[in-house]
Amino acid sequence: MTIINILTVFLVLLGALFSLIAAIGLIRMPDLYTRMQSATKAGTLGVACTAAAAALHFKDTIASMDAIIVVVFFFLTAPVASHLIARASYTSGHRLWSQTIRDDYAESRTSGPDDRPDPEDLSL
Amino acid sequence: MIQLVPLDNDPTHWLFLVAGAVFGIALLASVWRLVVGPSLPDRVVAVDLIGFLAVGIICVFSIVTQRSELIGVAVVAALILFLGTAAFAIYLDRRARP
Amino acid sequence: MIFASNILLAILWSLLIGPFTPYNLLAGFFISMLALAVCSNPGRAYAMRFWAIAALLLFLTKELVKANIRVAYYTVSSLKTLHPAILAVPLEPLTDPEITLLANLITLTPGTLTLDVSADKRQMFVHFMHVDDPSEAVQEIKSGFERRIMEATR
Repeated sequence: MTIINILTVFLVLLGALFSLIAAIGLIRMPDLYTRMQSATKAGTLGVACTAAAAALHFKDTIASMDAIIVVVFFFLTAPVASHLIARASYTSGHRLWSQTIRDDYAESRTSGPDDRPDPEDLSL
Repeated sequence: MIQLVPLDNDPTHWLFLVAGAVFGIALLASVWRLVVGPSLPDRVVAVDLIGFLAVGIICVFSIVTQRSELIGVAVVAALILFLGTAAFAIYLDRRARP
Repeated sequence: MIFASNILLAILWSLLIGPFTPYNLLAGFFISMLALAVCSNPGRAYAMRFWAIAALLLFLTKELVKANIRVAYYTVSSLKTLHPAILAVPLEPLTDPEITLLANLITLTPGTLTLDVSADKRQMFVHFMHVDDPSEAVQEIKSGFERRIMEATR
């Protein structure tokens, strides 16, 4: 029973708690955008905590490095993924919740031409 | 046959099992959203969270069973998860424009 | 760019000096930082920028914890008082990598989600999970993340 052991248990439990919050948010929240916020962000932190616990727990360096790679990778890709889904569902006409108090994005989209790149153009 | 190796007989072992159970409950909740979800983006978000939880469960499982090689599986799962979500987002965007 | 060469030098140090361990990597990082600070061109010293980056990371950690507690509270409390909003955040003239970094950091902290950047790159549309006062929420992003990113990158 060392300090690393205690820290591992603490991080795993914290990660499980954040994942549970993410799942509750996914069920309870009223519209897609708020749902996505509580799901992907709390979920990211939950997984990151659990992977950090695995990095602390394993003594061999390669496994610890792998776990750290998981943490870094989640922090890099999760915002990109949720931004992609949010913008795609806004463009495909997914409405906001009735209690939303302001929408600056709609105004900017109606004024001015749509000069974003053509989606058929696949040259990245 | 899966064998759960206690961590040097330490008393906190059951706490890992509690964490695993909590992950399981979260997984069931997201499956419910996947089934019910009124629109396609809702379901994509649910699949995303299911993937996150799968990676978390792999990490907990590798700690409990003392198998460090399972972390590599978590890396690959995280990679494929991001690609899948990005592909769905591009599909949604593409479908919106005639 | 200079940060990448710092990382590269640190990896080189730990490969040359002995076993490839995190401690050797960390020691190599600080030693190569010292070397880069000595031979970098005049202007703003690299070491100063390193502390700005460290301050940004520390601020991000703080925001992450604070915002997560806030979102957890929204999740379990009543939905009647929840007021989401999409606000336009005016931007300083930032370069493309800075905008990318800012958008990613905003999306990473729970409660805010970047939707799009306007075509002239002077506005960013951010979805807030709950807004009490719109101008205050915008100001919080501008004085928090945007100011710190500008300190860290230029």
